[in-house]
Amino acid sequence: MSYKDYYGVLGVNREAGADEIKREYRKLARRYHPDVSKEADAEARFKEIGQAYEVIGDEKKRKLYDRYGESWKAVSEGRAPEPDADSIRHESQGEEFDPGQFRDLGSLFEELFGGPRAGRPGSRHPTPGWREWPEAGVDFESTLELSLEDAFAGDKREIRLSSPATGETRSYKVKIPAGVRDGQRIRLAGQGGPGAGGAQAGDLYLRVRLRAHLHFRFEGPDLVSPLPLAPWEAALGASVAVRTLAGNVRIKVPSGSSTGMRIRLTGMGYPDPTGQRGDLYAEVQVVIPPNPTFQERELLKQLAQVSRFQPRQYEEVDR
Amino acid sequence: MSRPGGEQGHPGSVEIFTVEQIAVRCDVDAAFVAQLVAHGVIDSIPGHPGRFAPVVTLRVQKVVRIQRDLGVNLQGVAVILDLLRRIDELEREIRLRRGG
Repeated sequence: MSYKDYYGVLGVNREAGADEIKREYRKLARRYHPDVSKEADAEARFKEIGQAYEVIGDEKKRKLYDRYGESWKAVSEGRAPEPDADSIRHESQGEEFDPGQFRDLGSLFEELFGGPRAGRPGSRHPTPGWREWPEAGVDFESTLELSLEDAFAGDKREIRLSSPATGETRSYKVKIPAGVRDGQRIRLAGQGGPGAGGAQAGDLYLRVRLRAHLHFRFEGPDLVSPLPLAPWEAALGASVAVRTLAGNVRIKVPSGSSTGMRIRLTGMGYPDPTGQRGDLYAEVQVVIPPNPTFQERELLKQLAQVSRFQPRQYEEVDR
Repeated sequence: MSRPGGEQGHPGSVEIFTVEQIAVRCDVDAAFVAQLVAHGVIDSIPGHPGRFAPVVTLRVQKVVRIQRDLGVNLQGVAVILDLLRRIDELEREIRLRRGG
């Protein structure tokens, strides 16, 4: 077991007062609560914070911790039955070591954790007359990152998840419904925490997170995809291929299409909650040839001489 | 009964819970579940009062944990969950708009 500096965990110094410790604990608990926090290690941090506060937030335990450090608990547990308590305390303080005492300590532990303990009230061991109540399993939640294409098409895959409680890794078969949306949860019934006493197990929910796409982006329910056009295609109109999630489709670009203009492809976007496909907008982007040939340059020069087009609608005054 | 819509369900999810079933699954009293409905912390399936999508249990358990761990009352938990949902929406909007 690794040594935990509880003061460090709570970010207080060893002289901190009880009020300050409580204050810092509350701040950190709010920040790292797994249901509230967005940090990846929130669960582990929250547990650590709780452990730290359980010790240094309690006057008695804090004193023991200050004195014995990480072994405070063993010391406090060994203290319980009075006659043998001294031998333990001596050992912990680094006083002269006596093998005879060590043997006593062994028998003491046997006494503590062996026979007598099982029937003690308050222990987890079942005793006659004590009935185990059914306790439903908790629901688990995890994130499933998907590409837009996979989410659109649906998929069957096996994912591996490790339980934050036990650290155990398990694989789950997941059927990703076609058209699953960002933030939607896929439920794996009965795959959550186990129930106790014959109660039902919890469910596992996988929260879908769509990865940003290189080509498509969402605007509300609609998909937008840039459509690069050569100046003459934009000016004269053209028949061009547009990418959709279900493959390319050919569309007619009207003449006089400027950058930013959108062409709507009805029913070619992403499915809405009812399963009906939304719209896709192809957004015109006029692209200039980066290395025009001699002939292209000459033609553009001719165009510049002939054209009366005023792209700027404001008055141009040179200073 | 119709399938729950919106965030609450996905194609193929047809199971529906009553207040009592949620209470059992979350180890809380039915009265507490009713209180959550009254506070608008959980919602029944639109058009089907008293019937809930399974994902509601996730939310109820979250409420219980936040109350227990942070000492927040129900109205406070409702505010927290609303704000978290708002943050989620904004983050999603940013992520999906960003594109390539």
